[in-house]
Amino acid sequence: MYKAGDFKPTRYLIYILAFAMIVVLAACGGNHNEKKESASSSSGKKAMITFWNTFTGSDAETLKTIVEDYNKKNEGKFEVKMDIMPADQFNQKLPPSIATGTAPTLIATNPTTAAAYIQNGSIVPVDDFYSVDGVNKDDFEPSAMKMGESNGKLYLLPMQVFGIQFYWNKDLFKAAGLDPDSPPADFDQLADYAVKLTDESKNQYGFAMPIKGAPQYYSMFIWGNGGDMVDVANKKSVLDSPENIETFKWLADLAAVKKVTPKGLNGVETDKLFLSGKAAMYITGPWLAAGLKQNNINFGVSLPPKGSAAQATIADGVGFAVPKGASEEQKLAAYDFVKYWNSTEVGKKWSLAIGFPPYLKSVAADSEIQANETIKQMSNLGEAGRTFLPGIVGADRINGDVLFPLMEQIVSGLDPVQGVKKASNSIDEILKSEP
Amino acid sequence: MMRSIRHWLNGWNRPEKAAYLFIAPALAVLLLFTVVPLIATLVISTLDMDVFLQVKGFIGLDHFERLFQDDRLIESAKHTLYFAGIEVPLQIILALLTAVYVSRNTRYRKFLRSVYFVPSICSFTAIGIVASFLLDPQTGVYPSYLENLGLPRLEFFRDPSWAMPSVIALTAWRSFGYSMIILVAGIQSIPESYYEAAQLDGAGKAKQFFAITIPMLMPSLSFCVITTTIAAMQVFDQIFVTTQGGPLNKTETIVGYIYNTGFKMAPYDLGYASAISVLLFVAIMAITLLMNRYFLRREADLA
Amino acid sequence: MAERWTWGRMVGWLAAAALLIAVLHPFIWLFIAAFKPENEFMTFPPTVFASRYSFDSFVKVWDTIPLMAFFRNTMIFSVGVMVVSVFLDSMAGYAFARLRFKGNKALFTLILITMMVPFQVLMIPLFVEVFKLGMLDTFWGLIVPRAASAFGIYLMRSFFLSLPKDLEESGRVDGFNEFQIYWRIMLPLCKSAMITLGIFHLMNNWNDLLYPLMLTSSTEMRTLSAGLAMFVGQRNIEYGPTLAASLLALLPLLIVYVFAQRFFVQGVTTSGLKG
Repeated sequence: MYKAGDFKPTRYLIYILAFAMIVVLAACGGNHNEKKESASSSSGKKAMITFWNTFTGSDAETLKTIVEDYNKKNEGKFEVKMDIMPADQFNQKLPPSIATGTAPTLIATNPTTAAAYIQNGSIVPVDDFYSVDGVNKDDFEPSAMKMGESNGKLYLLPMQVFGIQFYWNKDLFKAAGLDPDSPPADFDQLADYAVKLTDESKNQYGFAMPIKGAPQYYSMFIWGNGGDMVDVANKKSVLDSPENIETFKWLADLAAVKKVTPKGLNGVETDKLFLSGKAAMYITGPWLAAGLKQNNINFGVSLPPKGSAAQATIADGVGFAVPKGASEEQKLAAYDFVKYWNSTEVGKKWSLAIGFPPYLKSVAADSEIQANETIKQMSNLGEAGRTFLPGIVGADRINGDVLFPLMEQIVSGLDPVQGVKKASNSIDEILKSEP
Repeated sequence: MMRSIRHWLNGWNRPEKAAYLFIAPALAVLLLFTVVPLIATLVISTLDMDVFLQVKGFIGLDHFERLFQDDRLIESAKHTLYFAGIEVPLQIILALLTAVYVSRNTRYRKFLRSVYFVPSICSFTAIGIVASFLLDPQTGVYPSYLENLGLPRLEFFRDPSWAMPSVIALTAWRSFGYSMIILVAGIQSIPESYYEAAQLDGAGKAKQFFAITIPMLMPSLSFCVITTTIAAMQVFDQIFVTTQGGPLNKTETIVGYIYNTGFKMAPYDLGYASAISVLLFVAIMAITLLMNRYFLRREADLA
Repeated sequence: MAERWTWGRMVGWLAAAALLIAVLHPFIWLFIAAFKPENEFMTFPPTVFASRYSFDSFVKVWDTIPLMAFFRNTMIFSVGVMVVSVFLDSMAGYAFARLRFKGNKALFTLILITMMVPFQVLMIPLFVEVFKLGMLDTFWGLIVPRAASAFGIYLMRSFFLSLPKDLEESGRVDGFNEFQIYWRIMLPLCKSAMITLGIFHLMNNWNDLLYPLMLTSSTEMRTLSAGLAMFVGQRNIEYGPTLAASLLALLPLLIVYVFAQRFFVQGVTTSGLKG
């Protein structure tokens, strides 16, 4: 029954196995060699700067060319090794890496997310950056430097600084008989315009309201009407104040009764809606402008409309941080790259390519930047810029687990009064674990 | 060297001893890289600990007390059961029907067999991306097909009551081929003579299916049911790419909630996330062992 | 041809054909869409076909990620796991199915149990463990923890259970030792089962995102699925490149599958077994 010929399949398997093992071994061996090489060189002449960030998508291209330029200029001295990953993975990988001492030398993160890292000492103070040779402290806008401040120490060095903006589609304004050059001045006018600009038969919406994965745009309505989400000093929710309840009722009326927005869109989907000319007004960050130009949308950009009490927007940004465990030598190497990033030439390149407003005075004074209307418009937040829940460790969670879900409920037509009360309790629950 | 190994092996050349040698390497890997981390998780579930591995104290069973008052956990448990309760039977029945249909070796049926398996080789990431495009209420082609057929334009992933059915359909679409391939293998190893004998006895197709196919298929079928159930109880990937637990949290599952609590953002409550995992683990274990016991008895009855 | 057309047969044929379309349609759409220009994804009402086709999206993918390096890493990782794991799984599965020994049930239950833990839960302890073993960011660190799988052992056990009972006896009569019985009698019979399991392992690891991402800490070690994830970022999402990258991540598996499906569709039983 079992003749010699029957054993052939096994022999094939052995061959495949042997071949695959050789491939694997060769590859692993090769990798070890690479490892050794990099270890010896880092102790020798060249300093490695490992840099993790979340600049996926089209921003990554510009970032990569800047890093490549830097590596070319500093050949044999410094080398930036960049690892770009989506934010979810970044947030999952970074904490255990810091705990095991395998963290990168440099990360880019926003102040809200950084709060937790600052609180438990996972990123180190970087005040001494500004005394590094060749860094011109006076060139930085004070607000950009302040972005990285916590308890009197600096933890983030500016990478980009921006405010959340109000966008409107001028062609749709014209078609609805509105003045294409004047955005709504206050909340009431916004509501009025939004209704006029909505035409469900054409799948066109007046004011797009995302329910997750977007900037915390709801806070500008809350702030605009004189309210706030959290009493930051006392770590207590103030969400269920009478003025906030009015604000949320107004938002509910706009979204669920007047139906000026599609339901249940996340940030990316809302971007897409506005990019395709199907939304007339939208509040989001400066990153949208580049895409709008590419898609030939005739758009305007300004600060959001005024509320009954004030005009407010969110001042946000991304900063460089150095995780715990980096040696002094590595930290200085990281500073060198940050210094390069904050040179006039690179600042200008980034600003023009991505459409982000400059925070270096020398870049802002540049004639090409001056000539760019959109960037100029976005540069000036005046008194309106405010930080979202500064210093609160659970800020991301309050935003993602409570306030955006509240917006979602409101947009889908649930009772705002009940919702706000429940949300306020949930915020207090999260704030309990605040240090 | 081969000789000395062989000599040494001879001492073990009795089935009841050799078995341990066969199992040892695999067992070592599983012990080291699954059981050890699992024990670590059990320990972490009694600690107040975050993802930075900073332990703020031992808190005993406090996390487990918290479990039962956590409305969001209870909701996500319901969603998980909803998913598993519909997806598993759907996938298995679809797989069984197609397996029976394609198990005969004609050219067309071989072709069907290979094509039905194609979705299973794709990652949920890729499939989720494609599904999000196809089902998008504004720009997706499927809602507009529905409209052209005179049916209501469904919002699929964005409608609170349709989101979970959409995820279930997507999962069954992707995975039925997986189960089907295993069942086809099982069906083909049933000796042809059994059917011939049944035919002589005058049994119809349906009778043959229930009297021969199903019982003879038990090892493969139980394998499919159990592994699919385990996977369904741990459902996460496809939801993460398509609905992220929304709308209105209607598709948030237990693993999704574990991810949200422990890994997504500060405060990274690894201790509590581990406690939820322990609960999920115990639940899956209970369900699986019950199923396994049932199937083992069926196998024993038939042997 | 000689088959008679009955209503039941008709329904079966129609259902199978409908399922075929349902399975293939999204892939056909993906193949077309990956060549669509970027601005045609937002048209309303939506269209399947585009006004023109180009390789722009693929060029973009090529420029954005080190595709070849990611491909090589994915290859080494998933093929490495596949080969080792199929071997170890089949050995263990064989023992559980066909050898009587003390603790069979208990050990098998233990192995089943390892399948019941979601990966997210084990992730952090596993990360720390691999770090302590000094295998972080190496191919060994990626392959060894996956070198055996409960799923594979279970699958192989189910398969070995379905083989006829007296196979070993003929081996023992021929004077084979236990390993020879496994290697020379059992393995040749389960070539197809092993290929099936091999494909399962290959695609699971090929497609896995979180595991290789956690256990590597440099771009040089990343896999294709991590590369794909880079297009699904939060802002500035580009649809064409996202779909092109999905297609590129899928294609190698599809090619392997086209070649391996011969064994797949052959079915598990070999002619030697029947009759």
